[in-house]
Amino acid sequence: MKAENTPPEYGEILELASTLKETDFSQESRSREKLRQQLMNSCLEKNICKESEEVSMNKIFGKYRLNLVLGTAACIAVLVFTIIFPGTIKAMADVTSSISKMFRLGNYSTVIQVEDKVSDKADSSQKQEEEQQKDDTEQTISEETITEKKEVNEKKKESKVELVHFTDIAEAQKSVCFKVLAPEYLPSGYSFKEAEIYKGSDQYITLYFKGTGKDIILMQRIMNKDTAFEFATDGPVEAVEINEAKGVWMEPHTILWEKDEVGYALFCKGFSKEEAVKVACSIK
Amino acid sequence: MERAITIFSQKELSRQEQVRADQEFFAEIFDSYYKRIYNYMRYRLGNPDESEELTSQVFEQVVRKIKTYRPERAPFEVWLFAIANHAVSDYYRKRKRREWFSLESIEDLVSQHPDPEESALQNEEHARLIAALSSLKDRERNIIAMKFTSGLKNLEIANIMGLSESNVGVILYRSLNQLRTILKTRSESFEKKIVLCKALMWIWITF
Repeated sequence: MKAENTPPEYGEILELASTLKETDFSQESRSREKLRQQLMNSCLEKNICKESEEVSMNKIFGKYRLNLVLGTAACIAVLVFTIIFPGTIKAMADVTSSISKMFRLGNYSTVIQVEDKVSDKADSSQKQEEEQQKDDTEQTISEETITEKKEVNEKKKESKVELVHFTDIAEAQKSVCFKVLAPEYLPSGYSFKEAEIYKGSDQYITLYFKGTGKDIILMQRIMNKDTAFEFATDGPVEAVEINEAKGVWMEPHTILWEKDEVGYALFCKGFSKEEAVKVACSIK
Repeated sequence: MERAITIFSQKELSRQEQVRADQEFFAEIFDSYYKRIYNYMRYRLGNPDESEELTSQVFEQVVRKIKTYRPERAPFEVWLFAIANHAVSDYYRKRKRREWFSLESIEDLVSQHPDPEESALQNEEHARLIAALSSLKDRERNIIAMKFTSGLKNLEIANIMGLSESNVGVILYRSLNQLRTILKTRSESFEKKIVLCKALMWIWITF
Protein backbone atom coordinates (compact mmCIF):
# COMPACT_ATOMS: atom_id res chain seq x y z
CA MET A 1 0.00 0.00 0.00
CA LYS A 2 1.58 3.19 -1.18
CA ALA A 3 1.78 6.18 1.11
CA GLU A 4 0.26 9.31 -0.34
CA ASN A 5 3.44 11.34 -0.04
CA THR A 6 5.69 8.71 -1.65
CA PRO A 7 7.50 10.19 -4.63
CA PRO A 8 6.27 8.68 -7.92
CA GLU A 9 9.80 7.83 -9.02
CA TYR A 10 10.15 5.55 -5.99
CA GLY A 11 7.74 3.07 -7.52
CA GLU A 12 9.57 3.28 -10.84
CA ILE A 13 12.87 2.61 -9.10
CA LEU A 14 11.40 -0.45 -7.41
CA GLU A 15 10.07 -1.63 -10.73
CA LEU A 16 13.47 -1.11 -12.32
CA ALA A 17 15.16 -3.02 -9.50
CA SER A 18 12.76 -5.87 -10.05
CA THR A 19 13.53 -5.85 -13.78
CA LEU A 20 17.25 -5.86 -13.13
CA LYS A 21 16.89 -8.77 -10.73
CA GLU A 22 14.91 -10.83 -13.21
CA THR A 23 17.10 -10.02 -16.20
CA ASP A 24 19.08 -13.03 -17.29
CA PHE A 25 21.58 -12.44 -20.10
CA SER A 26 22.90 -15.98 -19.81
CA GLN A 27 19.95 -17.30 -21.83
CA GLU A 28 21.47 -15.59 -24.86
CA SER A 29 24.83 -17.22 -24.24
CA ARG A 30 25.66 -20.05 -26.61
CA SER A 31 29.02 -20.86 -25.07
CA ARG A 32 27.96 -22.20 -21.73
CA GLU A 33 28.65 -25.85 -22.58
CA LYS A 34 31.89 -24.94 -24.30
CA LEU A 35 33.07 -23.04 -21.24
CA ARG A 36 32.06 -25.93 -19.01
CA GLN A 37 34.10 -28.35 -21.10
CA GLN A 38 37.09 -26.01 -21.03
CA LEU A 39 36.89 -25.93 -17.27
CA MET A 40 36.85 -29.75 -17.08
CA ASN A 41 39.92 -29.83 -19.31
CA SER A 42 41.61 -27.33 -16.97
CA CYS A 43 41.02 -29.72 -14.09
CA LEU A 44 42.68 -32.50 -16.06
CA GLU A 45 45.64 -30.31 -17.00
CA LYS A 46 46.00 -29.14 -13.43
CA ASN A 47 46.27 -32.73 -12.25
CA ILE A 48 48.75 -33.65 -14.99
CA CYS A 49 50.91 -30.66 -14.10
CA LYS A 50 50.74 -31.59 -10.44
CA GLU A 51 51.80 -35.14 -11.22
CA SER A 52 54.66 -34.01 -13.47
CA GLU A 53 55.84 -31.70 -10.75
CA GLU A 54 55.77 -34.51 -8.21
CA VAL A 55 57.68 -36.82 -10.57
CA SER A 56 60.30 -34.15 -11.21
CA MET A 57 60.69 -33.41 -7.53
CA ASN A 58 61.04 -37.11 -6.78
CA LYS A 59 63.65 -37.47 -9.49
CA ILE A 60 65.64 -34.56 -8.18
CA PHE A 61 65.32 -35.16 -4.48
CA GLY A 62 64.83 -38.90 -4.53
CA LYS A 63 68.31 -39.40 -5.89
CA TYR A 64 69.86 -37.25 -3.25
CA ARG A 65 67.30 -37.96 -0.57
CA LEU A 66 69.64 -39.79 1.77
CA ASN A 67 72.31 -37.11 1.48
CA LEU A 68 69.69 -34.45 2.02
CA VAL A 69 68.31 -36.09 5.14
CA LEU A 70 71.74 -36.71 6.64
CA GLY A 71 72.92 -33.22 5.79
CA THR A 72 69.83 -31.62 7.31
CA ALA A 73 70.14 -33.69 10.46
CA ALA A 74 73.81 -32.75 10.78
CA CYS A 75 73.05 -29.04 10.38
CA ILE A 76 70.32 -29.18 12.98
CA ALA A 77 72.57 -31.06 15.38
CA VAL A 78 75.39 -28.52 14.99
CA LEU A 79 72.97 -25.66 15.47
CA VAL A 80 71.48 -27.15 18.63
CA PHE A 81 74.92 -28.01 19.97
CA THR A 82 76.15 -24.48 19.31
CA ILE A 83 73.22 -22.97 21.15
CA ILE A 84 73.61 -25.23 24.16
CA PHE A 85 77.40 -25.36 24.31
CA PRO A 86 78.87 -22.30 22.59
CA GLY A 87 82.15 -22.68 24.44
CA THR A 88 82.41 -26.23 23.20
CA ILE A 89 82.31 -25.11 19.62
CA LYS A 90 85.00 -22.56 20.34
CA ALA A 91 87.15 -25.25 21.90
CA MET A 92 86.39 -27.63 19.07
CA ALA A 93 87.37 -24.97 16.59
CA ASP A 94 90.86 -24.99 18.02
CA VAL A 95 92.63 -27.56 15.87
CA THR A 96 95.26 -28.24 18.50
CA SER A 97 92.73 -29.31 21.16
CA SER A 98 90.18 -32.05 21.56
CA ILE A 99 87.58 -32.36 24.28
CA SER A 100 88.20 -35.27 26.58
CA LYS A 101 85.66 -34.50 29.29
CA MET A 102 82.73 -32.17 29.79
CA PHE A 103 81.04 -31.32 33.06
CA ARG A 104 77.74 -29.49 33.11
CA LEU A 105 77.40 -27.99 36.58
CA GLY A 106 74.03 -26.37 36.01
CA ASN A 107 71.99 -24.48 33.46
CA TYR A 108 74.61 -21.80 33.00
CA SER A 109 78.05 -23.27 33.73
CA THR A 110 80.12 -25.92 32.02
CA VAL A 111 83.68 -27.11 32.54
CA ILE A 112 85.56 -28.72 29.70
CA GLN A 113 88.76 -30.64 29.89
CA VAL A 114 90.69 -30.58 26.68
CA GLU A 115 93.75 -32.47 25.56
CA ASP A 116 96.41 -30.34 23.95
CA LYS A 117 97.78 -32.60 21.19
CA VAL A 118 100.78 -30.38 20.58
CA SER A 119 101.89 -30.59 24.15
CA ASP A 120 101.42 -34.38 24.42
CA LYS A 121 104.97 -34.97 23.34
CA ALA A 122 106.29 -32.65 26.02
CA ASP A 123 104.23 -34.24 28.80
CA SER A 124 107.00 -36.27 30.33
CA SER A 125 109.45 -33.39 30.58
CA GLN A 126 106.71 -31.11 31.85
CA LYS A 127 105.90 -33.54 34.66
CA GLN A 128 109.46 -33.47 35.84
CA GLU A 129 109.39 -29.69 35.90
CA GLU A 130 106.17 -29.68 37.89
CA GLU A 131 107.59 -31.99 40.51
CA GLN A 132 110.57 -29.74 40.98
CA GLN A 133 108.32 -26.74 41.27
CA LYS A 134 106.30 -28.44 43.95
CA ASP A 135 109.41 -28.93 46.01
CA ASP A 136 110.23 -25.28 45.74
CA THR A 137 106.69 -24.16 46.54
CA GLU A 138 106.94 -24.25 50.29
CA GLN A 139 110.17 -22.33 50.34
CA THR A 140 108.92 -19.51 48.16
CA ILE A 141 105.33 -19.14 49.43
CA SER A 142 105.86 -15.86 51.13
CA GLU A 143 107.79 -14.41 48.20
CA GLU A 144 105.10 -15.48 45.74
CA THR A 145 102.36 -14.07 47.94
CA ILE A 146 104.05 -10.68 47.92
CA THR A 147 104.67 -10.88 44.18
CA GLU A 148 101.09 -11.90 43.38
CA LYS A 149 99.72 -9.15 45.52
CA LYS A 150 101.77 -6.67 43.58
CA GLU A 151 100.56 -8.14 40.30
CA VAL A 152 96.93 -8.13 41.41
CA ASN A 153 97.20 -4.53 42.56
CA GLU A 154 98.74 -3.53 39.26
CA LYS A 155 96.04 -5.34 37.34
CA LYS A 156 93.36 -3.67 39.40
CA LYS A 157 94.88 -0.29 38.65
CA GLU A 158 94.99 -1.10 34.94
CA SER A 159 91.46 -2.47 34.96
CA LYS A 160 88.74 -0.02 34.32
CA VAL A 161 86.39 -1.94 36.61
CA GLU A 162 86.07 -0.29 39.97
CA LEU A 163 86.00 -2.55 42.98
CA VAL A 164 84.28 -1.93 46.25
CA HIS A 165 85.66 -3.49 49.41
CA PHE A 166 83.85 -4.49 52.55
CA THR A 167 85.29 -5.63 55.83
CA ASP A 168 81.97 -7.08 56.90
CA ILE A 169 80.01 -9.76 55.03
CA ALA A 170 76.71 -8.38 56.29
CA GLU A 171 77.54 -5.00 54.75
CA ALA A 172 78.57 -6.63 51.49
CA GLN A 173 75.33 -8.65 51.44
CA LYS A 174 73.37 -5.44 50.94
CA SER A 175 75.09 -4.86 47.62
CA VAL A 176 74.34 -8.17 45.92
CA CYS A 177 71.11 -9.75 44.77
CA PHE A 178 71.64 -13.23 46.21
CA LYS A 179 72.37 -14.80 49.57
CA VAL A 180 76.12 -14.62 50.31
CA LEU A 181 77.47 -17.73 52.00
CA ALA A 182 80.73 -18.12 53.88
CA PRO A 183 82.54 -21.34 54.83
CA GLU A 184 81.90 -22.56 58.32
CA TYR A 185 85.15 -24.50 58.22
CA LEU A 186 88.52 -22.94 57.47
CA PRO A 187 91.99 -24.43 57.78
CA SER A 188 93.71 -23.62 61.02
CA GLY A 189 94.88 -20.02 61.23
CA TYR A 190 92.51 -18.74 58.56
CA SER A 191 89.83 -16.07 59.02
CA PHE A 192 87.72 -13.66 57.00
CA LYS A 193 89.73 -10.81 55.50
CA GLU A 194 87.48 -8.81 53.17
CA ALA A 195 84.69 -8.93 50.60
CA GLU A 196 84.86 -7.38 47.17
CA ILE A 197 82.23 -6.55 44.59
CA TYR A 198 82.26 -4.82 41.21
CA LYS A 199 80.86 -1.34 41.43
CA GLY A 200 77.60 -1.10 39.60
CA SER A 201 76.97 -4.86 39.59
CA ASP A 202 75.05 -6.86 42.14
CA GLN A 203 75.70 -10.23 40.55
CA TYR A 204 79.25 -11.02 41.77
CA ILE A 205 81.08 -11.11 45.10
CA THR A 206 84.50 -12.37 46.14
CA LEU A 207 85.39 -13.30 49.71
CA TYR A 208 89.03 -13.39 50.84
CA PHE A 209 90.23 -15.43 53.80
CA LYS A 210 93.74 -14.76 55.08
CA GLY A 211 95.93 -17.14 56.96
CA THR A 212 99.38 -18.56 57.25
CA GLY A 213 99.61 -19.44 53.60
CA LYS A 214 98.04 -18.01 50.50
CA ASP A 215 94.63 -16.44 50.66
CA ILE A 216 91.65 -18.70 50.22
CA ILE A 217 89.40 -17.03 47.68
CA LEU A 218 85.70 -17.77 47.29
CA MET A 219 83.98 -16.23 44.28
CA GLN A 220 80.19 -16.30 44.09
CA ARG A 221 77.82 -15.19 41.35
CA ILE A 222 74.15 -15.42 40.65
CA MET A 223 73.74 -17.76 37.67
CA ASN A 224 71.82 -16.43 34.68
CA LYS A 225 72.39 -15.89 30.99
CA ASP A 226 74.48 -12.80 31.74
CA THR A 227 76.81 -14.53 34.15
CA ALA A 228 76.88 -17.88 32.35
CA PHE A 229 80.28 -19.32 31.48
CA GLU A 230 82.08 -22.27 29.96
CA PHE A 231 85.53 -22.95 31.37
CA ALA A 232 88.01 -24.99 29.40
CA THR A 233 91.27 -26.30 30.81
CA ASP A 234 93.91 -28.71 29.67
CA GLY A 235 94.63 -29.70 33.27
CA PRO A 236 93.01 -32.67 34.96
CA VAL A 237 89.37 -32.25 35.88
CA GLU A 238 87.57 -34.54 38.28
CA ALA A 239 83.93 -34.69 39.31
CA VAL A 240 83.15 -34.05 42.98
CA GLU A 241 79.97 -33.64 44.98
CA ILE A 242 79.49 -30.53 47.12
CA ASN A 243 76.43 -30.75 49.34
CA GLU A 244 74.55 -32.89 46.78
CA ALA A 245 75.48 -30.52 43.98
CA LYS A 246 77.63 -31.38 40.97
CA GLY A 247 81.09 -29.92 41.17
CA VAL A 248 84.54 -30.30 39.69
CA TRP A 249 87.99 -30.34 41.16
CA MET A 250 90.51 -28.79 38.83
CA GLU A 251 94.16 -29.33 39.56
CA PRO A 252 95.96 -27.92 41.35
CA HIS A 253 93.59 -26.03 43.71
CA THR A 254 90.18 -25.07 42.30
CA ILE A 255 86.68 -26.31 42.95
CA LEU A 256 83.70 -25.14 40.92
CA TRP A 257 80.08 -25.92 41.67
CA GLU A 258 76.60 -24.53 41.38
CA LYS A 259 73.81 -24.68 43.93
CA ASP A 260 70.46 -22.94 44.27
CA GLU A 261 71.17 -20.81 41.19
CA VAL A 262 74.43 -19.48 42.65
CA GLY A 263 77.80 -20.42 41.18
CA TYR A 264 80.83 -20.91 43.44
CA ALA A 265 84.54 -20.97 42.66
CA LEU A 266 86.88 -21.83 45.51
CA PHE A 267 90.61 -21.28 45.13
CA CYS A 268 92.66 -23.03 47.82
CA LYS A 269 96.26 -22.61 46.81
CA GLY A 270 98.61 -24.74 48.79
CA PHE A 271 95.90 -27.08 50.06
CA SER A 272 95.00 -30.59 49.13
CA LYS A 273 91.86 -31.60 47.31
CA GLU A 274 90.42 -33.11 50.49
CA GLU A 275 90.96 -29.92 52.47
CA ALA A 276 89.44 -27.83 49.67
CA VAL A 277 86.41 -30.10 49.47
CA LYS A 278 85.99 -29.82 53.24
CA VAL A 279 85.97 -26.04 53.01
CA ALA A 280 83.53 -26.16 50.08
CA CYS A 281 81.14 -28.50 51.85
CA SER A 282 81.02 -26.19 54.86
CA ILE A 283 79.58 -23.42 52.66
CA LYS A 284 75.88 -23.78 53.32
CA MET B 1 57.04 -56.98 -10.77
CA GLU B 2 53.37 -57.86 -10.37
CA ARG B 3 53.30 -55.97 -7.12
CA ALA B 4 54.89 -52.98 -8.82
CA ILE B 5 52.26 -53.06 -11.54
CA THR B 6 49.51 -53.30 -8.95
CA ILE B 7 50.92 -50.36 -7.05
CA PHE B 8 51.25 -48.39 -10.30
CA SER B 9 47.67 -49.23 -11.22
CA GLN B 10 46.48 -48.13 -7.83
CA LYS B 11 48.37 -44.88 -8.23
CA GLU B 12 46.84 -44.32 -11.66
CA LEU B 13 43.41 -45.10 -10.29
CA SER B 14 43.78 -42.67 -7.45
CA ARG B 15 44.92 -40.01 -9.93
CA GLN B 16 41.86 -40.66 -12.07
CA GLU B 17 39.68 -40.53 -9.01
CA GLN B 18 41.27 -37.25 -8.06
CA VAL B 19 40.63 -35.83 -11.52
CA ARG B 20 37.03 -37.04 -11.40
CA ALA B 21 36.53 -35.52 -7.96
CA ASP B 22 38.02 -32.23 -9.12
CA GLN B 23 35.82 -32.19 -12.21
CA GLU B 24 32.68 -32.91 -10.21
CA PHE B 25 33.56 -30.23 -7.71
CA PHE B 26 34.25 -27.53 -10.28
CA ALA B 27 31.32 -28.60 -12.44
CA GLU B 28 29.07 -27.95 -9.46
CA ILE B 29 30.63 -24.56 -8.92
CA PHE B 30 30.24 -23.74 -12.60
CA ASP B 31 26.59 -24.81 -12.73
CA SER B 32 25.78 -22.88 -9.57
CA TYR B 33 27.49 -19.65 -10.42
CA TYR B 34 27.77 -19.40 -14.21
CA LYS B 35 24.55 -17.43 -14.60
CA ARG B 36 25.49 -14.93 -11.92
CA ILE B 37 29.03 -14.40 -13.17
CA TYR B 38 27.97 -14.10 -16.80
CA ASN B 39 25.24 -11.61 -15.94
CA TYR B 40 27.73 -9.65 -13.86
CA MET B 41 30.09 -9.49 -16.83
CA ARG B 42 27.33 -8.39 -19.17
CA TYR B 43 26.37 -5.61 -16.75
CA ARG B 44 30.00 -4.51 -16.53
CA LEU B 45 31.17 -4.96 -20.09
CA GLY B 46 28.04 -5.11 -22.26
CA ASN B 47 29.64 -7.07 -25.07
CA PRO B 48 28.61 -10.77 -24.97
CA ASP B 49 31.88 -12.10 -26.43
CA GLU B 50 34.02 -10.23 -23.95
CA SER B 51 31.66 -11.25 -21.17
CA GLU B 52 32.05 -14.91 -22.09
CA GLU B 53 35.81 -14.57 -22.25
CA LEU B 54 36.02 -12.99 -18.80
CA THR B 55 33.54 -15.47 -17.37
CA SER B 56 35.83 -18.24 -18.59
CA GLN B 57 38.80 -16.48 -16.99
CA VAL B 58 37.00 -16.19 -13.68
CA PHE B 59 36.34 -19.92 -13.49
CA GLU B 60 39.89 -20.72 -14.61
CA GLN B 61 41.14 -18.59 -11.75
CA VAL B 62 38.85 -20.40 -9.35
CA VAL B 63 40.47 -23.69 -10.42
CA ARG B 64 43.94 -22.22 -9.93
CA LYS B 65 43.27 -20.40 -6.67
CA ILE B 66 40.79 -22.65 -4.90
CA LYS B 67 43.44 -23.65 -2.38
CA THR B 68 43.76 -20.03 -1.27
CA TYR B 69 40.08 -19.77 -0.35
CA ARG B 70 39.49 -19.48 3.42
CA PRO B 71 35.88 -20.10 4.46
CA GLU B 72 36.51 -18.42 7.79
CA ARG B 73 37.33 -15.15 6.05
CA ALA B 74 34.33 -14.75 3.76
CA PRO B 75 31.52 -16.71 2.07
CA PHE B 76 32.40 -18.32 -1.23
CA GLU B 77 30.27 -15.87 -3.24
CA VAL B 78 32.22 -12.92 -1.85
CA TRP B 79 35.51 -14.56 -2.80
CA LEU B 80 34.20 -15.45 -6.24
CA PHE B 81 32.90 -11.99 -7.03
CA ALA B 82 36.11 -10.41 -5.77
CA ILE B 83 37.87 -12.48 -8.43
CA ALA B 84 35.30 -11.35 -11.00
CA ASN B 85 35.76 -7.72 -9.97
CA HIS B 86 39.54 -7.97 -10.33
CA ALA B 87 39.18 -9.70 -13.66
CA VAL B 88 37.21 -6.76 -15.04
CA SER B 89 39.65 -4.24 -13.56
CA ASP B 90 42.56 -6.09 -15.15
CA TYR B 91 40.68 -6.24 -18.43
CA TYR B 92 40.14 -2.48 -18.47
CA ARG B 93 43.71 -1.87 -17.48
CA LYS B 94 44.92 -3.94 -20.40
CA ARG B 95 42.52 -2.47 -22.86
CA LYS B 96 43.03 1.10 -21.62
CA ARG B 97 39.84 2.29 -23.11
CA ARG B 98 36.24 2.72 -22.17
CA GLU B 99 33.45 0.88 -23.95
CA TRP B 100 30.96 3.15 -25.65
CA PHE B 101 27.80 1.82 -27.09
CA SER B 102 25.70 3.56 -29.67
CA LEU B 103 22.08 2.74 -30.16
CA GLU B 104 22.78 1.73 -33.76
CA SER B 105 25.34 -0.89 -32.71
CA ILE B 106 22.86 -2.38 -30.25
CA GLU B 107 20.23 -2.52 -32.98
CA ASP B 108 22.73 -4.27 -35.28
CA LEU B 109 23.40 -6.77 -32.54
CA VAL B 110 19.72 -7.50 -32.24
CA SER B 111 19.33 -7.98 -35.96
CA GLN B 112 22.12 -10.62 -36.06
CA HIS B 113 19.98 -13.10 -34.17
CA PRO B 114 16.78 -13.91 -36.07
CA ASP B 115 14.91 -15.28 -33.05
CA PRO B 116 11.17 -15.68 -32.61
CA GLU B 117 9.38 -12.48 -31.83
CA GLU B 118 9.24 -13.01 -28.08
CA SER B 119 12.95 -13.56 -27.67
CA ALA B 120 13.64 -10.72 -30.12
CA LEU B 121 11.67 -8.39 -27.90
CA GLN B 122 13.56 -9.68 -24.89
CA ASN B 123 16.87 -9.09 -26.65
CA GLU B 124 15.79 -5.56 -27.43
CA GLU B 125 15.03 -4.92 -23.79
CA HIS B 126 18.39 -6.36 -22.80
CA ALA B 127 20.08 -4.21 -25.36
CA ARG B 128 18.41 -1.08 -24.05
CA LEU B 129 19.39 -2.01 -20.53
CA ILE B 130 23.02 -2.57 -21.49
CA ALA B 131 23.12 0.72 -23.35
CA ALA B 132 21.70 2.52 -20.33
CA LEU B 133 24.19 0.87 -18.01
CA SER B 134 27.06 1.96 -20.23
CA SER B 135 26.10 5.56 -19.50
CA LEU B 136 26.85 5.14 -15.81
CA LYS B 137 30.27 5.59 -14.26
CA ASP B 138 32.17 2.39 -13.70
CA ARG B 139 31.76 2.41 -9.92
CA GLU B 140 27.98 2.85 -10.17
CA ARG B 141 27.78 0.23 -12.87
CA ASN B 142 29.83 -2.17 -10.72
CA ILE B 143 27.60 -1.71 -7.68
CA ILE B 144 24.45 -2.29 -9.71
CA ALA B 145 26.04 -5.34 -11.34
CA MET B 146 27.07 -6.75 -7.95
CA LYS B 147 23.74 -6.02 -6.36
CA PHE B 148 21.51 -7.58 -9.02
CA THR B 149 23.61 -10.48 -10.23
CA SER B 150 25.62 -11.78 -7.29
CA GLY B 151 22.99 -11.93 -4.57
CA LEU B 152 25.48 -10.28 -2.18
CA LYS B 153 24.39 -8.00 0.62
CA ASN B 154 25.40 -4.33 0.71
CA LEU B 155 27.96 -5.04 3.42
CA GLU B 156 29.61 -7.76 1.36
CA ILE B 157 29.65 -5.54 -1.73
CA ALA B 158 31.19 -2.79 0.40
CA ASN B 159 33.97 -5.16 1.54
CA ILE B 160 34.83 -6.13 -2.02
CA MET B 161 34.84 -2.57 -3.30
CA GLY B 162 36.47 -0.95 -0.30
CA LEU B 163 33.47 1.24 0.55
CA SER B 164 31.25 1.61 3.58
CA GLU B 165 27.92 -0.16 3.70
CA SER B 166 25.98 3.11 3.84
CA ASN B 167 27.97 4.44 0.90
CA VAL B 168 26.98 1.42 -1.17
CA GLY B 169 23.33 1.98 -0.31
CA VAL B 170 23.45 5.65 -1.30
CA ILE B 171 25.31 5.01 -4.56
CA LEU B 172 22.90 2.21 -5.39
CA TYR B 173 19.84 4.40 -4.96
CA ARG B 174 21.33 7.28 -6.98
CA SER B 175 22.47 4.91 -9.72
CA LEU B 176 19.06 3.32 -10.00
CA ASN B 177 17.50 6.75 -10.20
CA GLN B 178 19.90 7.76 -12.92
CA LEU B 179 19.31 4.53 -14.78
CA ARG B 180 15.59 5.02 -14.58
CA THR B 181 15.92 8.48 -16.10
CA ILE B 182 18.17 7.22 -18.89
CA LEU B 183 15.89 4.33 -19.75
CA LYS B 184 12.86 6.57 -19.72
CA THR B 185 14.47 9.10 -22.03
CA ARG B 186 15.80 6.49 -24.41
CA SER B 187 12.58 4.56 -24.36
CA GLU B 188 10.64 7.58 -25.51
CA SER B 189 13.22 8.23 -28.22
CA PHE B 190 13.21 4.59 -29.32
CA GLU B 191 9.46 4.39 -29.45
CA LYS B 192 9.41 7.42 -31.66
CA LYS B 193 11.86 5.70 -34.01
CA ILE B 194 9.75 2.51 -34.06
CA VAL B 195 6.63 4.48 -34.89
CA LEU B 196 8.49 6.26 -37.69
CA CYS B 197 9.80 2.96 -39.10
CA LYS B 198 6.36 1.39 -39.02
CA ALA B 199 4.89 4.40 -40.76
CA LEU B 200 7.51 4.26 -43.51
CA MET B 201 6.89 0.53 -44.05
CA TRP B 202 3.13 1.10 -44.32
CA ILE B 203 3.70 3.81 -46.87
CA TRP B 204 6.02 1.58 -48.89
CA ILE B 205 3.61 -1.39 -48.81
CA THR B 206 0.61 0.70 -49.71
CA PHE B 207 2.22 2.55 -52.56
